[in-house]
Amino acid sequence: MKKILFIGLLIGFSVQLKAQDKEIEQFNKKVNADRLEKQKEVQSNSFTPYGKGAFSNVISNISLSSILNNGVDGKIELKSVANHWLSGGLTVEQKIGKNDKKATLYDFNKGLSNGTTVGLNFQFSLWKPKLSDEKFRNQVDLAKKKFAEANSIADYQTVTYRRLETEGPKEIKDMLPRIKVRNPIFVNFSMSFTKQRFSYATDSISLEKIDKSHITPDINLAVGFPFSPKRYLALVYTYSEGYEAADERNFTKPFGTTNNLVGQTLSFGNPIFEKDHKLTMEYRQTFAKEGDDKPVFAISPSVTYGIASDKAAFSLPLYFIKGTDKDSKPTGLQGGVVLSYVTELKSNWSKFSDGFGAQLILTAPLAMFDGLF
Amino acid sequence: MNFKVKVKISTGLLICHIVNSHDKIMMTIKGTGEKSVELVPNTQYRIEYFYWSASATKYSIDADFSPKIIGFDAIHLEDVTTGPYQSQPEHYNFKTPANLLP
Repeated sequence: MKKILFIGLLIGFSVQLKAQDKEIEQFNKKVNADRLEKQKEVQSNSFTPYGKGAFSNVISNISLSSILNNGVDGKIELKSVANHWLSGGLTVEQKIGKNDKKATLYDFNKGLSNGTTVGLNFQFSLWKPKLSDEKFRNQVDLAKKKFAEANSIADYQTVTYRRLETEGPKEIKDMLPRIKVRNPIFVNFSMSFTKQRFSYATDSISLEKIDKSHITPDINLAVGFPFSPKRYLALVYTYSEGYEAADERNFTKPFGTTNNLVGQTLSFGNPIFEKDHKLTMEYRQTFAKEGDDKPVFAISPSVTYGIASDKAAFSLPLYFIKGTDKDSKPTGLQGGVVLSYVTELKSNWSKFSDGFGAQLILTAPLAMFDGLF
Repeated sequence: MNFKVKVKISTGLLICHIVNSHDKIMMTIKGTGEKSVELVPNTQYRIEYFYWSASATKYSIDADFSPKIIGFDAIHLEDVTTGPYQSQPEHYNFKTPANLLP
């Protein structure tokens, strides 16, 4: 009888153990599946340009960009212009969560706040237009003399080509020769570091909380080739690293030696590390109303390819420029929207509904090459 | 003969050269700045400049001998654009005086 009871208990115990093993196995499977899913999400997030241009400051000096359902991103930029050919800037950016009421960039006791990015950028221009030839100058001088005579200008040489071109009568405009003048090339180098702090557990039995901070770099090199002062093509190389917390889970465990239970919400697993080398091609163009040269609308489509992740992102930011001041610089807050599509390239392309993203932008204000001058 | 050139541009890029009659660039100023160059008396030179701006801009170029020379009028060039603009080569011809009397 005792033997039967013992065997029964043994079977019961082993069934319970098996059930526990199965639960642990299922838990591990779920954690791994969630981790894979999270990895994809992290890669997608790191791919979305969120309105950033190839050149720093192109969009604005101070901006607040609202990313749908993802909180906001506040950015302040201090810009220094040594002369109009070289400029540098210091940026401080703070990611603000959905529920945050304030953004703290720096805490004097704790140092740099979680989610703060500090960056430096340098921009310079390369430009060497070819000198005019004698024939060109002689033809322009003839037109200048004619214009000066008609407008009683004492020194015909003070009349500029631009004035002849815009204010001169058709007869003078027709006299003007035109040569192809080289456009400048713009180079921008930026480097930033982001501090991220994580609280998580890796032991499902003790649920011991681990607090860890990571500082990750982001390096950008952009070269811009303008076709005119209204449009350019830029090539950008980016190296970025980042971490993202694993999904949060709810755990219930005994409270001390009592029969009470206590609930705990924790990220389970190490933060997911992500790094990538990206190549981006970006085109930017401003549009003005007919007969006016003040910009009212701008587009900035771009394609990004992630070398390590083998992903591609297509982005189409549209900017609506509300108004411009006397110097044709946009005034007040400008609105815009960024439409993007991120896809894997390894297998089939993502379904449009899965890869599509939209972001509203609120910036102050957009300027075509503002950071460069 | 010390020839002094002063350039100012509100926004955008401007490149200003002093060029001799053999198309040799004697001096260049990029953007806002001030520079001097030694020029030979009784010789033909020109100021040649280009500018490029993605928004409205204004510039000025002032040039004269330092110390001033009798018979040579200071050069003053200026212009304003109301929107994005890429210039054609702009130029101003001048001849240095033979007489160097201040």
